[in-house]
Amino acid sequence: MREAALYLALDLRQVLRGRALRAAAWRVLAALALAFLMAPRAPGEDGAAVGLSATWLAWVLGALAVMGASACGAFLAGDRLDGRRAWLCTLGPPEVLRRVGALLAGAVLVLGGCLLVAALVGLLGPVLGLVPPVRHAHALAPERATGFRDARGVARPVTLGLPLALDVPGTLLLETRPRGWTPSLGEPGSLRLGWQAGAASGELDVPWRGRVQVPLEAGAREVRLSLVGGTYDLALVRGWMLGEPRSALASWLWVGWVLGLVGVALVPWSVGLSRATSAPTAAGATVILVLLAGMRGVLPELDALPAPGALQQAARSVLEAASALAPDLTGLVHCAEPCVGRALEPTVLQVLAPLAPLALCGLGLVLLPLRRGPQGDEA
Amino acid sequence: MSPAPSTPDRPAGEGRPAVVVAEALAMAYGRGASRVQALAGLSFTLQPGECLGLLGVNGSGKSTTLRLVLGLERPASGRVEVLGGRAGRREARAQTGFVPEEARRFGLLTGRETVDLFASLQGVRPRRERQRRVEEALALVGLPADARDRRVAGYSRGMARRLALAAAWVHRPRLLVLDEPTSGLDPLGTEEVLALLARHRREGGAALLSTHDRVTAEGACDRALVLQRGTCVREGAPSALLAGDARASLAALLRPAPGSDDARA
Repeated sequence: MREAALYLALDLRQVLRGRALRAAAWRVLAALALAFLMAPRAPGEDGAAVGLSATWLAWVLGALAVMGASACGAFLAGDRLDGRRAWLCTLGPPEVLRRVGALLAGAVLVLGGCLLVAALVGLLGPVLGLVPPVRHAHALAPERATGFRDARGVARPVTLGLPLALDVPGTLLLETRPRGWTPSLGEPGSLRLGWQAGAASGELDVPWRGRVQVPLEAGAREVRLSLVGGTYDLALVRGWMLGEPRSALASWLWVGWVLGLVGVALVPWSVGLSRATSAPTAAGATVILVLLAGMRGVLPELDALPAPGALQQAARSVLEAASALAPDLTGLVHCAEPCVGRALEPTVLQVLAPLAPLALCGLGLVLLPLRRGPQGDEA
Repeated sequence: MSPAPSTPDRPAGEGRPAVVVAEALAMAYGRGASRVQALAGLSFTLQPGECLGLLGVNGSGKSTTLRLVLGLERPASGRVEVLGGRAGRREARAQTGFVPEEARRFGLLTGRETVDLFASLQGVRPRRERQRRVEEALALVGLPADARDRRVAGYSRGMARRLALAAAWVHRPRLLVLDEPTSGLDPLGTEEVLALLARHRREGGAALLSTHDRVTAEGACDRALVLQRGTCVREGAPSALLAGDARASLAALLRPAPGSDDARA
């Protein structure tokens, strides 16, 4: 593996001295500048703008991981294009170590790049108002579409058990959706939610579709919620108990780490493909794979649309089949938690599991010898 | 027609086996109408301490022969052995140095880094010994001291060739394979290449080179094969092959014999 480390160092040196890195750095700086322009300026502006700039930064990180991984196809393809491959094949180390070196270099660059940008966001974001403060978050598990009215439309209270008692005052963050309302009913009108947690109680205005923050006293173990007025029902979709503050730097480094690992899982695929294709083809195939993976989350929505014609149905079937082969990356949406002030939990690493088969497949492409390599059966 | 191996598998004067043994090598590129016969039954041997030159016009099979010896390709038929085993196996590669025709491949590295990379990949250790050999190789090929820490992308063609030679020789290989080693070099550079080849041979190393240059052929090679259409048409010492021809080029030697297919073409 000493030779693989030499090739790793060679690729890193070439990337660090090349124009591509400078171009990528400028793009990241431009993305940060755009986030800065999106962030709220005047005191008193709500957190929506902060959420927007933070979400944008999370997208930038994700794009950096995917683009970095797809660009790794340039190592081996560049060797062929510049005539380095044949020269290196005349040296002692087997050619497979050259490929392993390219793979390692790609992994280091993608992970390092994501962590570096995440650290930049974690350090500068709070100072510049680009990201919201992050707090420890415990996810609640309300039954999906838990409502506040019974079958006859009579209001009924809902009691949510809290997973633990907080040592400090916290916040219960609830995501709600309207239920039983149709546009024919006209404007939804105002709706208020009454709450009681321990000795404290109060009422809150409920947005038409969005999030409600209920203050929690230290030590509270349950919250009783009830609708006050209104003509329609609310469904509790998701909920979190927000506790003690967390370091923004640590939270964003977590995001960078998870997205970086996603990129690392894509690197073998990109490097493996580049053995037989040009760098742009390998990069394009990797990006298309990620797009197909992203389509997994969208395809179920298509089922709600009117039945298409035969041609469209055939096209949709092809898309569904291709998406089924792509890894399921829909869980990556959890990486955006710090954008809305919630710290990531280590369990977020589970989103990487669907990438394991793809990474193994890519590793096979990198390690397996081709039938007629320059070094014969050693290639 | 191709002469039989002059000394197949014959031990060298020092009792060592031949460095390269090639027998009836055949190789073709393409298919159907575009098929080109690059080699057609070429045989030769290369002994330790010997320098063998491959002379021929473009497309005569010189580069293909070098690629087969390096193990970059396998012959369609025939066999090629390097240092007592199959060409291209790890042991052979580790004891071979290759100077490609175009050498500005690692443009973002400096000259010193390039040679150090090749020394490291060829297993020159420890670091102090590697550094010593890198400096020695760079000095021997005459790469200017102020150029050694500049990026290779800015090198002239001559400097790039000197660098490639240093990279090929830094691990003291038993076999040097050189593709047009003096192409693009000034007379001083050519002399330095010849001096390095002479030192390599004094140390028992063998060299296989292709060239169009009369100075290189006469100055470096003990023996030369004149290739035409993948076969050896003449073999001997370059001075003997060129006897009576006072011109500065190899044109007389490389010109197809009257009546041959190449001459008619």
